[in-house]
Amino acid sequence: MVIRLDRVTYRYEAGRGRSSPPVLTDLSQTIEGGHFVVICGPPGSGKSTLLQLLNGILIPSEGSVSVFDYHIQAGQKLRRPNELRRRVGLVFQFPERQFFAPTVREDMIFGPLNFGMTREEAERIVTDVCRKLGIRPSLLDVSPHSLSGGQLRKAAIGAVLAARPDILVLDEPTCSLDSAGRDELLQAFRRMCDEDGMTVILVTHRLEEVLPYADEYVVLNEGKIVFSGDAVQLAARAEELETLGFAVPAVIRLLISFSARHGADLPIEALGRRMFDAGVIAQYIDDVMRGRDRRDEDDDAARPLCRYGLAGAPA
Amino acid sequence: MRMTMPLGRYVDTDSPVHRLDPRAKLIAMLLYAAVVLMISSLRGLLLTALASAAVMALTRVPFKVYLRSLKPLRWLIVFIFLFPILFQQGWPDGIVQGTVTAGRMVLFIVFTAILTFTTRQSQLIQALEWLLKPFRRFGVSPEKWSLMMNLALRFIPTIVEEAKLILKAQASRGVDFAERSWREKASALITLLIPVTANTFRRAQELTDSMEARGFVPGMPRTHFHELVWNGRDTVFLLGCVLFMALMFMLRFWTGW
Repeated sequence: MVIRLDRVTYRYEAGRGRSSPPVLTDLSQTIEGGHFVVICGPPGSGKSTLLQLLNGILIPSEGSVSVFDYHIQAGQKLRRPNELRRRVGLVFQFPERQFFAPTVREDMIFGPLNFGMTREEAERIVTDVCRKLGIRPSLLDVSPHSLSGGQLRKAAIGAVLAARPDILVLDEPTCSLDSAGRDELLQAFRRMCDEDGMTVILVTHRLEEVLPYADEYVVLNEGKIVFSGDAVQLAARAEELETLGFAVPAVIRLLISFSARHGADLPIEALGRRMFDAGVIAQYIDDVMRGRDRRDEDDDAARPLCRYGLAGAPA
Repeated sequence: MRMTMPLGRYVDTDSPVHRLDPRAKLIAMLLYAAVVLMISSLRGLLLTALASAAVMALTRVPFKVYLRSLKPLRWLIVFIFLFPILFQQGWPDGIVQGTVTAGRMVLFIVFTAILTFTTRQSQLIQALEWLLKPFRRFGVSPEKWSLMMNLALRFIPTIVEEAKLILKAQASRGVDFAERSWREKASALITLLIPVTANTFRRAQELTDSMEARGFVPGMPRTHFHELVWNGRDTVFLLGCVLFMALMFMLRFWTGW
C-alpha cells in the first residue's frame, strides 16, 4: 500500500475565511504499489482535486493523506514538500502548455535539477525516459513549439517522469490525442507498472480506452467515491452505476448481454483486464458461437472459454 | 479560487441608483471627480462627504461593502495622510492638509465604488462607448475600444486561473518558492510568465478566429442587445449633480472655503 486516504474532505477557500461547499467529502481509499488505477466520474466530481491532494499541492480540509511515509494531516503545513513531489510525479491537464524553456531537453531536465540531481544524471534519465515513451532523441534539441501535439504531450509527461517518481499521477493525459497516440501512451504506462513497479493513477473520461490496461477503478460522483474495485466488480455493478448516471463502457455492456444471451460464462474473472483486448474479445465471441453449434456433438467445445491459451492465466 | 476584486464588482440591490442610465452615472462621476479635486478645506470635504453618503444610502449597498473597497489602498491612504505631517507643515498644522488630501482619496475611491457597485460592467462599457463617440472624428473607433475593454475584463479571471494552475504544475516539478534566494525566485518567475504569455496569445488567436468565423468585422456598425434608455429621472439626477458642483464652485471661489 503506497497511498492511503483517511476520511478526507476538501473545500476550496472562498476568501476571507469563508468556505465553499466541499469538493470531496469523507473519502477513504487505499492504493497498492505497482497498480494502474483509473479515476473517473462526471465533470466537477472532484477528480482533479483528488489528484492534487496526492503530492501535497493541496492539503486536506479534514482527514489525512498518507503517501509512503509522508503523513499529510488537515490543517498542517507540509514540511519539505519537494521530497514528496519528486516521488509523486503529477501531470496536469494539457501539460504541454507549461513549457517555458527554449528546447525540449531544457524543459525536461528542469524538474530533476530542481530536485537536486546533477546535470549529467538528469540528461541520462531524460534519454532513458525518451526511449520508454517513444520520443525521438532528435526532438530533444528543438523548440517545444515546433513539435506536433502528440509528441509535445509525450515530452511534457516525460518532463515529469524525468524526476524518477515512484507514483505517476496524470489528469486526462490522453485528452485531445488521436487513438493511436492514446494507445501508445497507455501501453507505456502499463509497461512502467509491470517493469519498473511504478504506480500509475490517471483520470480519464474514456473508460473504454483504459479497460485493457488498468487494474483498478475508482468512480467519483459529487465528491464521493461511489465505486472502487476491479473490472470484474465494475461489470457486476454496471447496472447500479448506470442509475447513478455513470456510463458503463459499451464493451462491458456488450460482453454482459452477449454472454447472457448465449448462456456462456464471461471469463472476465480469469482474464482480468486482458478480457478487453480486441483480439481476445473476437476469439471469445468466435468460441461461444462455435461452441453453441457443436454443443450436441462435443461437450468440451461447449466450454469455449478455456481454449485460447489465455484462459485460466493469472490476470 | 475566486478572485477578489472589490472595484468593479456589481452588487445587485435594485435601488433607484441601479436603475439610472449608466451614461448619467458616468457623467456624474466625471463631475464628481472635478469637485473632489477642487476640495481644499475641511468644510468642503465634509459637505462632499455628506453628499456622497446620501447617494451611498440611496444605493442600499451596505456601508461595510464600501469600506471593503478601500481596503486594498489603505496603506496608500495612511501615507497620504502622514505625508504633510512628516515632511511639510509638521505637527499639528499638517493634520488639516493630511485629512483633506487623504479624504479626497477616500471620496474618490468610494464614488468609483458607487458607480461599479450599481452598474453592470457591460452597461458601463456601453456608456463609455457612447461617451467616446465625439472622438470618432479624430480617428477613434468607440466600438473597437469598447470591444477591447470587454475582452480584456472578460479574460482577467481566466488568465489568473491559468497562472495559478501553471504555478501548481511548476511546484509539482520542484519549484519551491519558499526555500530559494531572491535571484532564484526571479528566474523561477520566468517559468510562469513564458507559458502564461504564450497561452494568452494562443487564446487570443482562437478567439479572433472564432469571432471571424461568426461573421464579426471590426468597426462595423452594430446594434446593441440592450439599448440604453434615458429617462426623466436621469436628467433630474444629472441636474442635481451639476447644481452641487456649481454650489461647490461658488463656495470655493467666492467665499474662499
